Amino acid sequence: MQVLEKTVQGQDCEIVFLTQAANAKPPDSLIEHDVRTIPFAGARQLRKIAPITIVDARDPHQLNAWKEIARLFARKSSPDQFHRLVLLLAGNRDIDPADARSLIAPFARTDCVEFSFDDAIGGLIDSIHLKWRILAHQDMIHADAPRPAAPRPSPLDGVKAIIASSRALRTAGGKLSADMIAKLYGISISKLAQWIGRSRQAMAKTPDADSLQNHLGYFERVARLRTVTSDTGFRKWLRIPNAQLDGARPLDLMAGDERQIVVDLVDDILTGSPT
Amino acid sequence: MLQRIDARSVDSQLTRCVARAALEGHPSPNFLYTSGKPNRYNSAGVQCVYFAEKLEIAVLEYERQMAGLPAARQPFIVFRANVGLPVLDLTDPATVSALALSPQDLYAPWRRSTKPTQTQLLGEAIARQTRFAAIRYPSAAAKSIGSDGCGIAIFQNSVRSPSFVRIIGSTPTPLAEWP
Repeated sequence: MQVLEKTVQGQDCEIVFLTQAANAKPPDSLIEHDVRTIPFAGARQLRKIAPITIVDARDPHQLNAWKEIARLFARKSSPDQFHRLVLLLAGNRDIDPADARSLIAPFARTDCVEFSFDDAIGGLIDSIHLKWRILAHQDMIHADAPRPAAPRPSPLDGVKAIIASSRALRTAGGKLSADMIAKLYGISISKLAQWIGRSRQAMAKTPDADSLQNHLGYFERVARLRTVTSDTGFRKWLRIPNAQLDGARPLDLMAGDERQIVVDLVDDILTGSPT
Repeated sequence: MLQRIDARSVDSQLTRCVARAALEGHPSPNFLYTSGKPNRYNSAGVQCVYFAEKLEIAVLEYERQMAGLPAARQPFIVFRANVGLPVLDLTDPATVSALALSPQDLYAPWRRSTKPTQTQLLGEAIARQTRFAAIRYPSAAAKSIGSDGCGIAIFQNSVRSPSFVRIIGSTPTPLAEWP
């Protein structure tokens, strides 16, 4: 098969190779692919899960690290986005079935995980890449998927000042608008679309689409911080490393799949919750 | 392990600070609202509320949360709860040791943890029984300025009569209460 298109409708099919040693190389069979190598220790810092992530599972002593990565990816993966975790188990054909189960168990959908017992992994990656390409072309990666859950309820949901603060993010019909949220956050509509797995064109056409409301709900909840600060102060807060987020910037977690963590932090700030 | 530890009785008045803007205009604020949001002593889905033992600690906790925001100097509201509770006292080194915890575990980062922390697992265990209704713990906000002070995490399902939590209002009738 020819090298597959890397980009479809503005979306990238990134391939990440997670490995124990930072200087380890992906298998030769991936030579035709553009693969980014990241050490296991760097997995937590990934802002977004790549469509294809290969975990170097060739050293059986690293079983706990693989399990940790599986849990991390299961937590970060979104049901409306295409993610495949490929465990490269070359040389570990005798993996204990209980261990294999524990690698799949954290995922809501078992088809998110693939095992390869051979270093010649190129064919499997081509197959996954092809599925991604077909789905991306048909805009099916998210179109038919279940909508993400709305953010957790908050003690602040009925507070007048809070409701007033979110009014500026809504259309006359009361729906959250991606346009207004992008403007408040100081980001482009394309970037917001990319963060929540939509095409820029679709989002620009219907910025208050029903299918976006749960996604945008997280952004509205974080924007409640404006009840105690200005829009400028809010944008600044988003971009400053936060000790309570292990030094990460709130905006980086909003870009990835840790939005509920930022929502919870804002709730705690406004309600003075001791920790 | 909890079976081997005695509950300590806490009969006192606890305190919490909330940004005024976060309560203003609320038709009937629920001061004991729980959303199951994770915190240091509870993982997601475990219903509990957090208070400080003293006003100065509640203020410290509030200001720590507001760090980096001009809101730290804005008005805030203080509310208090009368409580009578059997607590697991983590300020007692013997208790910490009996639970096979280290003092560092009590201050470990938890917000981005990919699995429940030691303190969250402890909270889950407390929420499943009724011999203890709360955890008394050293305040991370107080520690951050080299001071001492305590917080109390109260687990809704573990507060059974005669234990109680009553939010103090302007009349003898509490604004909210457990059980």
